[in-house]
Amino acid sequence: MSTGTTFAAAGAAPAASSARAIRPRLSRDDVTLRLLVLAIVVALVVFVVLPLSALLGKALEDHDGAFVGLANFAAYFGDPALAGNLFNSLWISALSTVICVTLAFVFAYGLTRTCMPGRGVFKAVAQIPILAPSLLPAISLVYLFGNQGLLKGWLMGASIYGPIGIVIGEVFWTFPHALIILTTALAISDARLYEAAEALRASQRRIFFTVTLPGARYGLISAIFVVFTLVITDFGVPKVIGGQFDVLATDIYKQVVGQQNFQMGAVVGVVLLLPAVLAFVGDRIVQRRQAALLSARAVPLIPKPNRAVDLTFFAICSVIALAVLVILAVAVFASLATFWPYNLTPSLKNYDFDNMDGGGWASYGNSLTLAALTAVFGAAIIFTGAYAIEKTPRFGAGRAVGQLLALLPLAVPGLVLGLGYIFFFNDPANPLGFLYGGMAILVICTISHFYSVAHLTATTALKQIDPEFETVSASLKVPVWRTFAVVTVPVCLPAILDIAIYLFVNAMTTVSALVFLYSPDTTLAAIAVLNMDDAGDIAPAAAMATMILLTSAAVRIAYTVLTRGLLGRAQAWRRR
Amino acid sequence: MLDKSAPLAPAQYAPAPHVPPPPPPVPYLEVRGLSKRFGPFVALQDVDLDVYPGEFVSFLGPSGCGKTTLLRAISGLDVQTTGSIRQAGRDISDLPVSRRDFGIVFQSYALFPNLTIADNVGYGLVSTGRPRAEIAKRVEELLTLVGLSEQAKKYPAQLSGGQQQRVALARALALSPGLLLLDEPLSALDARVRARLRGEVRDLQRRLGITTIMVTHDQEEALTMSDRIVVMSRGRIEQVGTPDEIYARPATAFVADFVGKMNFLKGRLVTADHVEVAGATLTLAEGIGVGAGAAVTVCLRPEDIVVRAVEGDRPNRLAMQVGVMEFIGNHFSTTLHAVGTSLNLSADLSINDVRDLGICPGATITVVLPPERLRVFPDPPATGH
Amino acid sequence: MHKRFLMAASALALLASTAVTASAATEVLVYTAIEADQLKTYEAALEAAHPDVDVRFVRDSTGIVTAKLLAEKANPRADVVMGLAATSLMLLEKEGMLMPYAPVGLEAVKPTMRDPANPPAWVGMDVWASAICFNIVEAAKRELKAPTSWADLTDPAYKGQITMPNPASSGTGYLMVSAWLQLLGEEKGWAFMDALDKNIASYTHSGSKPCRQAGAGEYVVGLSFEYRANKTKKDGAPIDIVLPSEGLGWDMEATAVMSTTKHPEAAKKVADWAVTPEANKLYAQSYAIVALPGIAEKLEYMPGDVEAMLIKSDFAWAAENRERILAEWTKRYDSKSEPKK
Repeated sequence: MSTGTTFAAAGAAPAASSARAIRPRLSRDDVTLRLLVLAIVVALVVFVVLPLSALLGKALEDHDGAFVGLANFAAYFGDPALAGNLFNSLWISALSTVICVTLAFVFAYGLTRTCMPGRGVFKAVAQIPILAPSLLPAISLVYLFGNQGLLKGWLMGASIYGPIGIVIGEVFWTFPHALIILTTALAISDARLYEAAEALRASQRRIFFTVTLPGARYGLISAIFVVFTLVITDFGVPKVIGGQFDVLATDIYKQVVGQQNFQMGAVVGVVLLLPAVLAFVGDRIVQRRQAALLSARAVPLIPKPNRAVDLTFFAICSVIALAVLVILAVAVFASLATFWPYNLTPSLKNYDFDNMDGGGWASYGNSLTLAALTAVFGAAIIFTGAYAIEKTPRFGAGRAVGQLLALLPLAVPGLVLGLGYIFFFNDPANPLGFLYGGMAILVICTISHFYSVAHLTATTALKQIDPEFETVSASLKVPVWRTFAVVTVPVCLPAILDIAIYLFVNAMTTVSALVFLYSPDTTLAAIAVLNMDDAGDIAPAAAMATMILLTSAAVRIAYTVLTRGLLGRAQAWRRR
Repeated sequence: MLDKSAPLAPAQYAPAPHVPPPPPPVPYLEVRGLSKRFGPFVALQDVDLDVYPGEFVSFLGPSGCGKTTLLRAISGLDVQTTGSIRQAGRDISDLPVSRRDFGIVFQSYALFPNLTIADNVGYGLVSTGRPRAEIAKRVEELLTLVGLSEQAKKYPAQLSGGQQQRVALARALALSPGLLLLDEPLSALDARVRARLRGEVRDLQRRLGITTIMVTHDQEEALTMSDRIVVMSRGRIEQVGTPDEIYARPATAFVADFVGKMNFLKGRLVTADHVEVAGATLTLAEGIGVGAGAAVTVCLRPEDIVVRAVEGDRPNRLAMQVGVMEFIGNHFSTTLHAVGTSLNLSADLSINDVRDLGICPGATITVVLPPERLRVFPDPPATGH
Repeated sequence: MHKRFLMAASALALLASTAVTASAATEVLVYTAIEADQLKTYEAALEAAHPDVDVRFVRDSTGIVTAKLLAEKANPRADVVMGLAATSLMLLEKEGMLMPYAPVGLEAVKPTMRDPANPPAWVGMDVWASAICFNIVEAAKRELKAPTSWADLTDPAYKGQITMPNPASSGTGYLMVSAWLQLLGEEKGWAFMDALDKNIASYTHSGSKPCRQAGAGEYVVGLSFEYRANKTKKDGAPIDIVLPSEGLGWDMEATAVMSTTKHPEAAKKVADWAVTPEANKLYAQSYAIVALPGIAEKLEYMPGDVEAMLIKSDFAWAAENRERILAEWTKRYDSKSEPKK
């Protein structure tokens, strides 16, 4: 060492004793956050993992509860009718996915890459189906293409009851889901690639296949997985419009509710779980790659006007938007007719739900209660849980388990989860059995069912805020809960409200998980639609579906007004 | 006219002559044998360091050198794997952040966007349960201290980057911590504001006399603001010293390379104080304790090459041909080739020198490489450093 | 119930908002297959008559209520079964799930409308009989003649225009199938159904839906039951009600107390109410034949005398062979069945 430079510690005694590993002491905040993570883990285990295990266990039992191994599965695959329904499910889902993703891609392309007029309106219209239960398009299709259908001739003699109806209904219902993913994927493309391609005089066609499509490939794959999962696990559309055409989702229902054959229902549930889990794993892998793509610095592409292209897309998008509006309008119109199709005088007779199957107006009230409770408790629990999983210092294992469990519900179809709930909570030995039959279990099941997307929304929002807030407040001796309440929650309020709305709308429209769990005191609007349709009261079913649609839409509009007005004022700090 | 004994670069930036107090015997912060491993990766290896009361110490080094890891260990954010830290005589090695005594300013400032400037500054005070009036008074005091009392009701987004930085500083000082940690506090600012704030932060620190540690990758920042600089590389401390020492007498080739610009010349010792470099023989001011024949690296700062008053019998006087001249603004960055050798140097020549001596590309000039400015490091036996 | 309430309240904050108001009345869980629109009036009358009984109805179609009761055999939830097909109740009786009980006023009930045992395991409420709903508007468009008999329905002219309830889930469906097998004998019965199946567009889950669909013109012919036919016509549907000439399949809606009930006193009160004249008057608003004599009124749109047209039905046979018949039916025709609920 040269002279004049000294290590300040040169004179200090060698620190021999410091070789022992340091075990950091936990602060009160650390303990609080870890307990929160553990609470979320326990809750997800109890409300997702254990019910699924109960389902798997049931699939391996006979009627009397004796273990029979894979005998039930052998019986299932040995029954050509049942196994055929698996095939039905697969091809219907594949076909719906292809059609839906293609249409959504064109629509998303029009929204993001052209200067066609009315993009705002198109975007808004395309989102509406998400506000309706999947039963609504199916009912509309009966009115449009049924034997008395307004547009029956369009089918040229084919019957809407069956694959055709299922596919149209599913495409309508899943369209917004695919559109959101594809719009995002197309919006993030890098303008520089297009500039380079144009500079190299590539044709539009070549640019599309070499730049546009590869750039959106992760979005496309993700949309395919999501739509496929939604279709194969949906039960509303095939139930109403499927006619004699059975699919896995209706099979479960038939086995469990119709024949009270829980073991076989569980078997079908497991069979249904497989494609959903595969799609989930595929989607997660793709998502990870896309995130890597996103982190690269890109120049956003701003579309340039091109009359021919813009008008072409305007025409295509108009047709799609019109189809969406017609399907919605027909259900509303039919619900207001006195006696379709013979007496079209407007009346509210079909809204007299109290004299119909399904629980009457009380069902609607129950649905509102369920949706409100799910939104409030769900948003609070999921956001707090995401916060704990995201912000707990160290505790890697606990957080990883929490994260994994939080994403698990995404892979679990609602019908399967609901069936798992029956087995788990209706077990006389379960101390949580008291929940069965009440509103609480519906709220818990709905929160669990829709946990993942809400959790991801919360996590994204939390990742966007400064990671050092917690350190700063700890250095200022401020307890973590205060920073959570005073800073994190207000800063993330838009995301929290998004989560609440998402949960509210889904609680209003979902049928799949809850169809096994409602009790006479907790009949629900969306299930009433199902039951009324079952009893042949299709106009009242359309009326109730309309009520659900209007409620979801009203809440969404109220939310928009609220965020622009009240929230805008309370959050002046967001403005510069 | 050139005072060759004074280090050029630090003197250019130092805002005011400042004589750091002689280090008192008792360090305020004692780091002993600190190591941090992330899996197989060693981020810190056996680091020892003392920081004295009132000192401004910078951790300087390239990214991944361990400077941030060391700061995070001191703050308790990422507790070390082994080793101990004592602050004011108290062992804080395993304490959580909230039980240590420091204020911290991050590169991002981490200001709470939804709280006013006053609420940000008073954030830690509210939890102490002090009376409202007292808190308001303290907040006002702190804002006055950083010159932002007019902005109390605004939100962070309404302030400039420099103002936000000062709010973060005021907030970190609110609870009168014993130690102030600055994690790249200026790097998010543009060059002009950064230069101004350096002085402001330094003045404030001196006025308050608060022991301060700053992490930076910006050597200029470290040189101008610190009492002492800790240069780090690959999880180890390379050198600890005053800015002057670090710049003028780098302890290792790494420090020489990292701080300031440097000519690195591969050579071989001819005698204890003569070295042969690319065909030229240079005289050294002193030996480095290795024998003749040893492979060495000779270091020379571009600004230490003398072109005026080079007449007479001076050691290391060379005729050099001017190659490329690059105008940097306040000087010319010039390449020089020693006539009749393969020795190439880069030199920073002042505008005055260039003008007065008529230096232009292609010209041959006489230069002196002052022996006391040549730093020699023995080459490591194996390859790689 | 209090224990359950306390557990619920303390267990989760979620429950705070859903806490059921504890009432002093005894809660009785009644499984029923009574039509939703009828149930409303029954419930009101029953609660007015017995304010100390808090009746909770779980309503579903006959097949499902039956399956549910059988599935819950080990741990039954229901206290009373009301308005379920007698054939189904006989099945439960065989399983030992019913508590023999003679309701107050049993002596007034027609002897044909109760379990002959003493005390009876079940007591009938009313008779519901099959009926055909025939859409005259759609029939005119297709130039279809109205059927007059079951046999007419096998005419290829009706191909794809008939719907009927799936007997596995619908009591209405089963009473038709049982009637055909009893009228024609097993062999000819199945042959008839084979022929009928060729014309069937869809087997529905509920017994009401075929008539509703015929009413809406979705299909021309709906095999349903007399109450729904009457109601659909009253609602304004352009249908004619056809009572096939061979005779009407029928079953009784009946009430029974579950042997496992934890509230036998309250459960018996429900059974008592079911045989009162007040209750029978309510039944009579929907059905042509009720348990007490002298109360029945003719249904507004019914073209003939339902009681006279009922076939001579062997309920014991229908109950005993229910499982076998349904299995056979499912094997033969289920691929055409609408997703069953």
